[in-house]
Amino acid sequence: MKVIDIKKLDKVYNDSEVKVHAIQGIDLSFEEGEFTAIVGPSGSGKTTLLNMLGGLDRPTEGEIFIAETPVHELKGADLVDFRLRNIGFVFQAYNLVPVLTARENVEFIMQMQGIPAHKRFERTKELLTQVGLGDRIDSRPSKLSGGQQQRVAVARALASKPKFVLADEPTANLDSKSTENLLDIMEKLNKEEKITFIFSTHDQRVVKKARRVITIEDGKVLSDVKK
Amino acid sequence: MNLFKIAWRNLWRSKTRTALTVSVVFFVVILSVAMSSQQYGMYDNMINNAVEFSGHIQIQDTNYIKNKSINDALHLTHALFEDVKSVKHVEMVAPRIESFSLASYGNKTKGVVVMGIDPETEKSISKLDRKIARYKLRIDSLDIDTAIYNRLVELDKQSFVSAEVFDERLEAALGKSHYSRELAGFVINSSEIDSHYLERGEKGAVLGEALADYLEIGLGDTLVMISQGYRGATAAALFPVKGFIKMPLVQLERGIVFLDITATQYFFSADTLATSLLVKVDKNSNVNAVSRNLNKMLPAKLQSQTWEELQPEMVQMIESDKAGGVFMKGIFYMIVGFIIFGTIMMMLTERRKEFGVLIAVGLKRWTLAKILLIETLFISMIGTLLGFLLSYPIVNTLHNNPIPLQGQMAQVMEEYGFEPIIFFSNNSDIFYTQAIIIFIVSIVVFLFPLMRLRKLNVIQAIRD
Repeated sequence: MKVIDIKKLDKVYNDSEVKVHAIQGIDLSFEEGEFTAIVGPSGSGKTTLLNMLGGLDRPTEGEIFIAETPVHELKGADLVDFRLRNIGFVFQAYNLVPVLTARENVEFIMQMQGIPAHKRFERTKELLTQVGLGDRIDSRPSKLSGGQQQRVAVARALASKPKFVLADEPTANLDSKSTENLLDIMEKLNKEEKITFIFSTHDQRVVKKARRVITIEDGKVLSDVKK
Repeated sequence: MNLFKIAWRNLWRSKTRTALTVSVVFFVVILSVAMSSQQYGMYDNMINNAVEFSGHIQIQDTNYIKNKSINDALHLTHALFEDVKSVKHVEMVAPRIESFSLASYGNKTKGVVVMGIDPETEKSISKLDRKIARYKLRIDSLDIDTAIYNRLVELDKQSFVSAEVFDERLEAALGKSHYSRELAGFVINSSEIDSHYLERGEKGAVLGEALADYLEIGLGDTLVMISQGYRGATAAALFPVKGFIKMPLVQLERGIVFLDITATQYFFSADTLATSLLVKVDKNSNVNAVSRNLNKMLPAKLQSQTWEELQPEMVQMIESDKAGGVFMKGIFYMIVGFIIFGTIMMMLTERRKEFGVLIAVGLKRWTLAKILLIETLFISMIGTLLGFLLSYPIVNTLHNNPIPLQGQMAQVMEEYGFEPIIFFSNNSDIFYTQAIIIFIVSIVVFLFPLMRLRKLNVIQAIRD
């Protein structure tokens, strides 16, 4: 089942003196349960593509359908609400709210979705246990290591039961052990829970685990390899 | 997660900054409360003195309002009295006849205001009987126990004062633990009274104490008065001095003689005439309505005026002083505004990335704005509350114990026509006003950060 369908996607940045054609006529689709890595050199357009998939940036031309919803047409509060209910994000720098505990960081997203308190609590506990932090639910981010914080970020991304998770360089700030650990958890979630993961990465360890690798250069798809 | 809880925790991410901002609000609130309290305390006292001496409303002949001449006095009739009394909210009506005269004793003469009053009704309106001076404690004549005796020894050394002041001094000397109305009444009654208030129909004069000092006239001496009476009649009479009176304003005390109204009418050859009818109203808030109603029912040549209309200079002075206070407080609030603004901008700038991420994961900008607004209000309201906690006891103490001025400061105040005492008000409006102003300032300074948050570029914020 198609989760994402991209048609003739174009993105041109006009804000600086030089016109930058960041994405040039990309056609792509992603199926449910994929574990995909988008790779390419810096400035190739992978983060721009990821931002548009996540509804954070708008395409200049083309269409993006997520579960048949034309995301390119959504605006304002509708777009925010769509992101909240359909897309999970994992960022390079964890970006947890420092004044909230691990549990509160995860629960906050569900609260915004209007999920009742007892259900929120159960799911948060379950998610944090799945990422191996069942015993650290009441720790604040400052008391957790980088790897642990990123695992909380994964749990937060999954809190809203999204259609897919976008992870932008999730391992860039982690050491090897933490990277392995995080990727194992994500892979397990992908296999067992059928959660779709799309990575933008330079990290070969991520590429090695991915079952589909899309290479982008100069805003175009250079190759799309399914393992 | 409750937004208030998140906002509260966010506040303490930078403890020093929050503490500094709260401190600024705290100090501004204290300064502002103290300033307002002193201003309104002085106004209240001035207004009370004015209302107490002149009544809430005065009814006068329209020509008298313009000329202030006894020739334009109004005719006192029973019907007029009853008509005025019948107006809703009117508590009491008192006639006065007022003109000028030369007052002389020995080699000294002074131009004075002669105020003919009904001694009985004035007790309820101007409370002149409470202002008669020369009550003095004679401690040895009192049958009191040692503890109270010891507390009153110092009072024994002090000079003659009015009953009002004597009572205040007694209360201060005895302290809350020993003071009671019964004991105060007993001590006051036992204290020697050198001067007394006028009796109805009595031919005697009560002089301002400062006037008596100037004329060097004593109790029982005869005051010579010469003036022009009604319609040019000669007015000359001798009045035995019955008492001395303390007035709130020394300027007034230096040139006033109180006589019984009948004696005054006789002196000015103005039988059945009065220059004013004083009206006491049940509540200050009803004064304007009563004045309007009186003007509707009074004959055309009579007019009712409120104390504000009677003393436009005082009202104007209060208004201009208030404007000065508003300017000063405006500067205080601007400081608070800029400090709060700086703090919110710093909070916004250092959390740009966090805000970007939260918007990306689905938090509405409005929810973020609410968190930031709650943080702002927490800072300003904590400062305000702490300011109230400290300023209320101070202001309340000063309200109950006004600061008497002495020496040159007191002289300057008296020359400007003020009582040489700094009064403070503890009216709750002063506190509400501060809280409301700080709240509004916080909301106003929040608008710019709100706009910044509205225009926050999520992608750029995440990249930061």
